[in-house]
Amino acid sequence: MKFWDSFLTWLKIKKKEANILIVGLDNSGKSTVVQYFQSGGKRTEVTVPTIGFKVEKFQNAGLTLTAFDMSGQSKYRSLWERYYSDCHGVIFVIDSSDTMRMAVASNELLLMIQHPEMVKNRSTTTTGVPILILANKSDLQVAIPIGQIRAELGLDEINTHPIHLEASNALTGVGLHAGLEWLSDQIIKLNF
Amino acid sequence: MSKNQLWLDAFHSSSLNLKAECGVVLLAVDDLAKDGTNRLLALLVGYELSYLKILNGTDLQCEISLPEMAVALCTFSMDGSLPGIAVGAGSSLYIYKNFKPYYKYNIPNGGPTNTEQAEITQLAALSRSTPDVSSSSLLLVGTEHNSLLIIDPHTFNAISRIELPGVPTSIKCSGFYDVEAVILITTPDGGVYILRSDQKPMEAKPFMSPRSSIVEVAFNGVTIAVATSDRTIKHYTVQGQELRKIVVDDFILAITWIEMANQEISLLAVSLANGEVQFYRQGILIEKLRFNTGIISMTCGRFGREDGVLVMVSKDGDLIVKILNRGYKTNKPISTDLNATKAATSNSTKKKSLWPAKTKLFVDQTMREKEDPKKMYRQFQEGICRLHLRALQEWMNVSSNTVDKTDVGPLDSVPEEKRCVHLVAKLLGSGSRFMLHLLLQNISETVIDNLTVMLQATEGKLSLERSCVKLAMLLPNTQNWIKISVRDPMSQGGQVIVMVTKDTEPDSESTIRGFLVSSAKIYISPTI
Repeated sequence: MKFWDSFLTWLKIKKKEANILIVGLDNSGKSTVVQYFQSGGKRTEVTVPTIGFKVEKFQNAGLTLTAFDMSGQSKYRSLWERYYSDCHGVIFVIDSSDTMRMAVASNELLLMIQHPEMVKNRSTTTTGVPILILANKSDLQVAIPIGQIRAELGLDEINTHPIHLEASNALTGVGLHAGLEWLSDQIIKLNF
Repeated sequence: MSKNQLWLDAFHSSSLNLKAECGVVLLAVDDLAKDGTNRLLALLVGYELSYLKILNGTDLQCEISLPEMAVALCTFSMDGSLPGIAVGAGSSLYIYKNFKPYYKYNIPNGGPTNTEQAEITQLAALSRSTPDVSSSSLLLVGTEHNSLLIIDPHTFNAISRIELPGVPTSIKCSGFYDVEAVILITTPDGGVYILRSDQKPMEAKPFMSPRSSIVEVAFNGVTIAVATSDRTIKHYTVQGQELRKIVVDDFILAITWIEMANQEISLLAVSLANGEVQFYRQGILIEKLRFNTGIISMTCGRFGREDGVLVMVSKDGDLIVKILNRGYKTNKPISTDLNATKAATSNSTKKKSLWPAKTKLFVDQTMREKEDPKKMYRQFQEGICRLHLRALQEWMNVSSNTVDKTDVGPLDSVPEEKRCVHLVAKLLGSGSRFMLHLLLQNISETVIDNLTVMLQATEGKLSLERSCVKLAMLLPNTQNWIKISVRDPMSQGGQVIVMVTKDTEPDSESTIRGFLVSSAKIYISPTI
């Protein structure tokens, strides 16, 4: 069956589809990132804090992505793990200017990586689910330098998942395409 | 890599210098600009000038200098308007809105002559009604003149003025004023008083009075924690029942409740003088944090955009921010403590078997006693007087009945014998040994039989040679001498009662049933 699927995709009859999970603390710019990917840079509406989650679809590099834009508020963070089981990639958005909550972001990332569902995913495929970390709002003056973020998140210690850190600005789109390119490549490499 | 700690280190700064002359820093956290970001308010109390510092995240947003020595700070919300900051300084309330001065309210005159301007000692905000009706709050203002004012910040009218038994130094409240609210007031002479808004008129009722002075009272709406200077924290229910007691190793500087509704976390943070902050869950220590100097002020709540943030200020003026770890597993680190819990519970069950639970009657009684001890004492005295009277009446009835019965029986012989037996008692001797001479004489013309002479030492430590002498018969006009030696080894003196009774059932040896014919009392004075 799998061979048939890949045959169809090779024939471009069946499209490559993947689910990605967009998580991160509240006010980090997750919905803005999704909006940018969808509309290609045109800001159509004012984003409001997401309640629960939103599902959006967009295409990139011949891959149809179903994005689960999760709410980052602390009361909704327990919802994230419900979607770990069938996701092919994760975008973790960080507010680079939020010095106080960098510890919380780091802790949430750690919790996600250590979650049994994410570990189970790892055992079925060769490596873990690829995680793209967007250090958003990098244009702000008070933004923490990317090197410091890498150190604070302890990314060098994570060897279970392919991880890529990208400085971004969801309003202008800086860094978003490069990041998504990497994630799509990883998803295709691991699943198709 | 895996870290299962209760608190995440979010921020530590000594550059903000939250230090004040009087060393008192009060903290409050609220969403002051309605932009979803909660600011931190720190009141730096000085003798001449006080400062109010407002922090947005890690940055100082603004600093307001206050004209007088400010002592109290609280934030309040109003319908259709930005939340306000109320600062109590001197006899005025300074209200700030949108970080700008908004209003100055002088509290109404009080005092014995009704002209004195009372100084504010404490402030608190209480929700007026449930959130679906209104989000407005009322200001509770404690003044020097032992009163509590409830002020509506819409109109700045005192809705109510409640007299208190002392100067309120701390006001803690919970609930909704229109529905049900509980206000706890601490006075410096060491008492906590409770007021309930559903009992109109509101009045301060004594809640508890500890033996040592109160450091801080923390109230989370359900449990009241009272920290005292003898290194003890006691937990009480709102009804006044003591739940548990925690004894810590050093002096307590501050306590606060940490509540996270969606994580079902309820912890008590206790700051000690040795720089430790301990976290207790239901009286069990689950986590400790160590700092170089003692934490003098703590507050927990939503700060910035994050819930469950613990903000602390140390003696050196450092600001420390800790955030609750969402993934904290409670069962792991307290595995060692679990045995302690079990032991504690088994201890408590053991205790339960020994000490029965306080009955409702007992609790009610103690409550009433606390409310009005004078009245209770008077009631008790009245009750005991009535009991005495009742007992006396009963005894009178019984004794008069027996007299009636004997009168009904040998009607003629009783007065005869009572009249005809003559008793004379003489005490001879002066030392520790005495001789008691009793003279019994029958002055009637008939024989009197079955008499018993009974002796009893009622006072002092006297020893009698015999305590009972039976006389089979007493012939008319004869003198019967009975000689009994009495010893007074302690030389303290005493009293001997002599009773002569007529036996009605002469055959029975053991019991003496009869009536008194004659009696005498002999006093023995103490010998030198």
